[in-house]
Amino acid sequence: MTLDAAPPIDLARASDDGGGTGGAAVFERIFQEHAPYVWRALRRLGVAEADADDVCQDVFIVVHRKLGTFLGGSVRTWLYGICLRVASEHRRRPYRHREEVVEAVPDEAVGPSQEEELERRRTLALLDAALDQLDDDKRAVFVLFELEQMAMVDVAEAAGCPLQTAYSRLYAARKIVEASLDRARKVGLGAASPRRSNA
Amino acid sequence: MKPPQDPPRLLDPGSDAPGWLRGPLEAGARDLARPSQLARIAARLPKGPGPTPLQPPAPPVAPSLPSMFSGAAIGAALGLAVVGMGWVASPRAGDARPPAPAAPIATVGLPVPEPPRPAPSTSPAPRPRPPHERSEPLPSGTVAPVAPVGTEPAAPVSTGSESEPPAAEPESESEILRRAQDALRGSPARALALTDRHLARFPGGTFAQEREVLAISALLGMGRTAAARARATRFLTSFPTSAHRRRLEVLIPDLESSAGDHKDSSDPPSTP
Repeated sequence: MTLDAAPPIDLARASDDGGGTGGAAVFERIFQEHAPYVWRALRRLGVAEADADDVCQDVFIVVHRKLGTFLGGSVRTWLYGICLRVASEHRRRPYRHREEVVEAVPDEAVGPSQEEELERRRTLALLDAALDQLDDDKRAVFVLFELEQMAMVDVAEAAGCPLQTAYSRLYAARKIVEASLDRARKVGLGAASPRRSNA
Repeated sequence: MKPPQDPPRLLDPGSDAPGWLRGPLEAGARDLARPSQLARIAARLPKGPGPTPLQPPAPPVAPSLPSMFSGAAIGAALGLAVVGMGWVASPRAGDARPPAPAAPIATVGLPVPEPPRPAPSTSPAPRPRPPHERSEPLPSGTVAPVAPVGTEPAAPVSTGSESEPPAAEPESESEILRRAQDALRGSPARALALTDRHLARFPGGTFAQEREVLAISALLGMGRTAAARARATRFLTSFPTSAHRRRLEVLIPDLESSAGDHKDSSDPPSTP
């Protein structure tokens, strides 16, 4: 399985070789390269599917506004730092998890079979239920390291904590997630027949 | 000191994570936004003329600017801010926020000193502003002439003092705010002084909202949280649909509830 992580953007270079489009080109490029992963991270950080598009947009509003104050370094780390704050803010809002009328038929409607789609949703629900057992700090570290494949140094920077603290949160989060998924498995809710398993 | 090596991830090929643990994690890693979703999000992001192109760095404003990006991009950021306001301020589906007030709004309800007018002979001619650049109605006749952001050279700035001496030459709105943005990290008090200058000169200016956000950020940087909160609350009362609302809510986490109370504060708008 390939966990696709967007390559780093050299903002200084991007701003120089943008063919005169400058900041708009940089912003557009950041969106194109990172938006799918930002959306994924937001979902695992506790943003409901119905809200994910709006919150993803909120993240890029902040990116849009703060682009001029970016201090260099890893765009991805900076971006996920914004993600964590926006997701945390969103979770505190009383009107989150609202229902939305779907405007269009989902793309997958003609793709995977309904059974596969149901299984996918069920498995994601298990994962989210396990992640819901974590507090915000542990969840952030677990999601960024295990799912977003960030280095722990970058995870710590994005989460705004010392590296050793990030390690502690990761190990604690792993125990909680493993225990939660193990409980689900034992009561017959666990991931059924994983496609690839070395267990 | 070399940081410790990262442990293997649960999804790494060599990991000993069992299948019942890998399955959900793999599902989570595959759960990306669909292209149609990304297209919808992208459609709500800024379009049109776009922000000002990043210029080659202007003459140095502060010798110890920490950012490789800030010199030129601050102008772009101001451009981004203005351009972004149009589309962000438009109501979205499911957004329960009230519509923009129809009545003209004057300077966020703050006490306004009599503004000295900039000398017209040295200011660029006013340019018509397309509707998407403006998110709130502004009083007629109060919009100061503004040159395209990022096209004017930054004036040299003295860096030794927190107080801002009167400018020898007329300054544009964007120039003052760009300098305030420059000062924000290293010297929030100076940034606040610059926003005060902007308030005095351009009380109903094009960048009134940006000025207020900078001033609030400066107050936070100075540790004056109560004053920042009060000013932010007044800002949201005056500009309830502002594109800066989310930013302020991020800067001051429980702002929304306090803004809803419409509490007034006796704090002055800014006192460096």
